[in-house]
Amino acid sequence: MNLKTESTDELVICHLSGRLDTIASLELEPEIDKITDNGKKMEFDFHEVDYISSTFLRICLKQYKTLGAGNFWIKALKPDIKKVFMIAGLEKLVKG
Amino acid sequence: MEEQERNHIEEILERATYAAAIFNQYDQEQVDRIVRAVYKAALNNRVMLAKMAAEETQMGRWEDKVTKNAIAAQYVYENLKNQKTVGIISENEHSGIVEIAQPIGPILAIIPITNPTSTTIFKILIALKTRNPIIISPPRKGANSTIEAARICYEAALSEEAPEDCIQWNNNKTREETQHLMKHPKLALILATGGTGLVHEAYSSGTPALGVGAGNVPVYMEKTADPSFAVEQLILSKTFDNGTICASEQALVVDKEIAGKVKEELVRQGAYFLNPEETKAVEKVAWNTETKSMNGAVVGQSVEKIAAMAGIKVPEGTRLLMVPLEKIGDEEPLSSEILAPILAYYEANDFDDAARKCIELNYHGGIGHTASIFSCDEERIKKFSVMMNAGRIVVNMPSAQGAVGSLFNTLETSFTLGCGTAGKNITTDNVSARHLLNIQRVTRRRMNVRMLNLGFDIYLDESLDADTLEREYNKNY
Repeated sequence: MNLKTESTDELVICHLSGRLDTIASLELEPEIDKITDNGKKMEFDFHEVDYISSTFLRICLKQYKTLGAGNFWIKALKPDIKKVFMIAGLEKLVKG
Repeated sequence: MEEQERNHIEEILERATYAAAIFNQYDQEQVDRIVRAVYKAALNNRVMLAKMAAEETQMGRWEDKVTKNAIAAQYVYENLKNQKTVGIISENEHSGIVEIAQPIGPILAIIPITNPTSTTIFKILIALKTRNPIIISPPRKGANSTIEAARICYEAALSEEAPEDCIQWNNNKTREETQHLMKHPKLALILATGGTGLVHEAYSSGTPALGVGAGNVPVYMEKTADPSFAVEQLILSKTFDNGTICASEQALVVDKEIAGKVKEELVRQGAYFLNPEETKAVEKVAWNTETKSMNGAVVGQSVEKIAAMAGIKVPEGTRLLMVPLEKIGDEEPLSSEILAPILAYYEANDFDDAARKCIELNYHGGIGHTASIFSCDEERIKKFSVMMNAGRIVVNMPSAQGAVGSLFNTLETSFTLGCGTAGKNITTDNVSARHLLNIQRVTRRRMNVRMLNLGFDIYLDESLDADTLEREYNKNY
């Protein structure tokens, strides 16, 4: 699994890693959905993510829409992955 | 435009933008796997798609549409397969220039009714090879076959993990919706293959566009040509898919020395020369006097059907209608582009007379497109080629198949033939993958020795004229 979580009272940090291709993303989606249900803010830590698929991009957008601006963000992206979010016009999802 | 349509366009472009972002991560190997899967799927479905297109558009011959699909898949793939289109594509130590290929972004592909499935396959392959998402805009009367071709390609692309929505299609759209799509700020490029009006709209949209121009291809049979061979090649081209290819011959100009033999060969190989009354009858059905252009009803139709429409009788088995004409221009409608097995015929007194006629035909609605010559005289071939205003001058080959490339020559295979500034296009090239890339150039220090020797202070001396500066600049070099 490419996911480890860490939780405080208000925030869940999802440490993701490796290639988040279609299969990995589909496996991760229910796990992430479960965590989202607890009403906390959420951070995706991307510092070990090497690739994201269309499916995972959709998951990021879903989190953003569900939790709302200010309650979901992605941090520590490698430059290649940062570029993906810039091309997609989704810089609003990225913090730092 | 309705809000619903506006939202639909927004959604298409948003999806395409996300696909472009994901595609940016792919390396050459992944891209090549996707392109290979798509080419194979298209080639496997060539017959089904051809039959579907012929049935739906009621234009052309399904057998020839199979060939077109095969060319769009296999020949285009063979052109593309070894091309570098991702990341660093060239490094030149001597010049200090490194070239990096970057995708351009979402492409809108306008598909013509005359070649719906083949153009779709071609545009999808070159877009995917360059990591660009593509939005297919089908012709109204050929929408089902176009979309089926796109769907087959998309499924194959996904099977090799291509980004979601790397291929989309916009069906049931109004002209207004297409215009709105063309102007969308998220769109990177329009690949506009279609009628002059649509191409003009693409160029006027403010989005970069690669378009095509109208053709009116003259073919010159010079006195050293081999009549039997030349006529065979001409008929192969002009009757292909009942003349739907815009690079097919529109008027034959023959040197009078060989005219007798050429006419004999034409008749022997299935052409029929119309008399003046029959010419008028064909003109009536082939020409729209209001739009001053070919009548859509004859485009891609068989000789049999055109003869029936015109109410004339032609010998059984006739493949091509020859229209002997004297004049060229608006007063002679059949000297214009007619995408059907109808060919204007002129005789020339000598090379200069033939060249004058071909220039007139070329400038009568076909500048920048294609011209054709059959000759064994090297000097005349060159002279003729220089005089033509055409992106492609095809020599001793069928013009339609020759212009498309790869079959009779080494031109790049393409279903979008640039017509240069004369055709209101930016290129005369056969448009291909390399036109869908932004090439970044990394440049390393390579000092200009003449600049180092000369310096810049010399320019401060107002008494030194251009001749002196030129001499000084090149001194000891």
